[in-house]
Amino acid sequence: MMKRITALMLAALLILSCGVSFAADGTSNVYQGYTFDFFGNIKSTPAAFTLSQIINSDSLGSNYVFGTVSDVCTASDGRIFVVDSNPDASRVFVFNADGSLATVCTPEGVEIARMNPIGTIKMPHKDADKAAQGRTANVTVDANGNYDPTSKTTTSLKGCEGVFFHEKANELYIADTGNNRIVVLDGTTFLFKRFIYRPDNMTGTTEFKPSKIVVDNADRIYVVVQSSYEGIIELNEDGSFSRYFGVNEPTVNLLDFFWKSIATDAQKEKMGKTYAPAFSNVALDGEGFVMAVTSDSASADKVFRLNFAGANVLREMGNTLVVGDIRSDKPSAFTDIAVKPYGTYAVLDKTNGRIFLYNFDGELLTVFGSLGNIAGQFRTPTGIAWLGDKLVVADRGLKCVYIFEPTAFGQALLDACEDYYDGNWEEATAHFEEVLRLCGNLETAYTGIGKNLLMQEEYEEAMRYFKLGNNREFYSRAYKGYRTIVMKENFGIIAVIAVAAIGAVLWSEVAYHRKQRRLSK
Amino acid sequence: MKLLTKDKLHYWGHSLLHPFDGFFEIRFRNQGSMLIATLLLVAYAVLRCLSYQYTGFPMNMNNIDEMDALSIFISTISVVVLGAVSNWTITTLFNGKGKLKDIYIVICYSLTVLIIGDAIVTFASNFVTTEEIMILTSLQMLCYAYFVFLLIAGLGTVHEYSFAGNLASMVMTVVAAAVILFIGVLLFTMLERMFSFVTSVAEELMRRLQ
Repeated sequence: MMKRITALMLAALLILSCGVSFAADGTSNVYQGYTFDFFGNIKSTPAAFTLSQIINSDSLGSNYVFGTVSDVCTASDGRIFVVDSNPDASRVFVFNADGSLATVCTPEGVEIARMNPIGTIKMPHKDADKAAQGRTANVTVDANGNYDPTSKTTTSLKGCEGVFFHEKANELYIADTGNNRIVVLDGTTFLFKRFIYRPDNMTGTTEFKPSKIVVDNADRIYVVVQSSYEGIIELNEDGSFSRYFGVNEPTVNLLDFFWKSIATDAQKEKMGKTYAPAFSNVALDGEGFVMAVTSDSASADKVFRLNFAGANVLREMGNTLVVGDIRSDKPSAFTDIAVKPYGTYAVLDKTNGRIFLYNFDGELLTVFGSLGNIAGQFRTPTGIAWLGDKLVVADRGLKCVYIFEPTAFGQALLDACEDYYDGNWEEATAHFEEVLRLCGNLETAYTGIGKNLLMQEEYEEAMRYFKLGNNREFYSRAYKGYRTIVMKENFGIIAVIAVAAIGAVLWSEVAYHRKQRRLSK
Repeated sequence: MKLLTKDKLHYWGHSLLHPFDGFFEIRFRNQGSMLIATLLLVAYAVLRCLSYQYTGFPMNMNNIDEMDALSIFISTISVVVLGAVSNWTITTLFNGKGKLKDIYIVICYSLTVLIIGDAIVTFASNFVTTEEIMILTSLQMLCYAYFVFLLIAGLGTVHEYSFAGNLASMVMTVVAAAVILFIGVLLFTMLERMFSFVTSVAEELMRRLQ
């Protein structure tokens, strides 16, 4: 009996100590990351990000609660915009970088920023004039077409799904999905500026229900409509329709193709049509390219970097393709993407609650996050954005916004990627070495160091690193240089051997023919 | 009887360059050597292991950390043995003149080409870049093509088949190999179940007796 109790206690101790040892360097094992090697094996990495702050209904004060948190975006000054698409009271909350509800705007602006309790936008008088000329709602106009400039006019948001802060024009774009329009506010005072409705010259069958928006530096507006197979809607600066952009291609199953080829028209009618997968979200990268993701499993590509012609020019130079999980039963379904100015991007997967971090070349850096109920885990993640080097993630299921800050490992990774992108090879190498000190499993880091060595023409050392990084292409570039040097150094010996070999062949030919001639005589 | 004569050694080389003539001598004038054939098979299996590990890095897509030399060795040998046996089972049914020994010798002698090809490729792959890999893979393809040619020529000769009949018998061989594999797997699963049944009964008995 005594023995059994001791054994039990020992077992309990063992289990407990295991739990403790998992939470190394004070981080929770919720964030233990992993990555894939060349062979698709899962390799563990330390936590790259840890939870630093939670913004939930408690952060809103007593007046508001979060309903359905469906998107998040950030401004470069650190403000965080959170969209609540609650159908009754859709609002956009503005937070300071420290997570407090913003107080930097004018008193009226604050009120508008919160969209006030019934979810309305207050229009200043001069802008109501503009609004009255369009097909805007709720502007009181008298019989002569004039409106009363002293009356304050309001309009409400309905089921907003997206928000975008346009730095260049200092404007806040809100996708007012339920009202089939885009609302543009001033970026500082949050006073109403204009509406963008369905353009008159818009073609196609897509309903104008803006869900996600980005505006590029040329003021072109890209609008994602959920489950639209025609692509992203591109609008000109004035709100007129430009074109559908970046049509996604479905993968065609060979078996389906066979059945369709022998089916009659009536049968084909009954079969489901294969539509082009719809984009679920967009973002802009540092070079002005539109990046998009899709959560549709039928899509061949999951992440897109669309050039001006709408073709996918995403770089996939890594040891795995940019598709998220490759060892999971459930394929990743991406709901949002956040891109750093130096091209490193984080994609948010809702099926497994993961965040995948890729660098500019499409090399997987690390994967972290999980589904669950512990603080920092996700239920239905919907939006992701960079806040400096921090990551802001919105979760609809848990009605909160998480702010993750990078650990030493994560910071080293980001710094390495930034310096590598900017061409600061020395600094990048130093950061990659720091990364490798913390995690020896990361092939991307070995490759990064190798590339720097290759640049310095230290071929042998570069070969060693590329071998560790399982990068065959760059290995052979380094090998080419190495081979040339070896050939040059030993040219004498090689030349002698080559001449001797040619001589031997010639001599044997001559000797053979002489012998034949002698025999034939 | 001498295991290895000068003639047999000669006909090994002869059958590679003049397969119809060479394999005819082997089949009908008893010029084949089981010893040479088996040595070739072992050499090929060893070479497979070597090429798994020592193929140059740009060309080597294997995870060397997970290499299992024994399983590579055994699977190579068993594929050849399986091929020989299943071909024999089919050809005895379809008036093939070849004995199991002849079939085995034909396959193993043909392996010589693969041995030469793989050895060259494995060695040379240590001195190439990714752009030059194409040269080596085409060399490898040539070797495989010649290997298949030798097989067709050799098996057709030892069985005295027409070309079409020979091809048909080879297709049937693949089917037969699949059937043999299926039965083998079935047998192993059955044995495993029987074994676990017996052990659990024994365990039960032991506990009751305690």
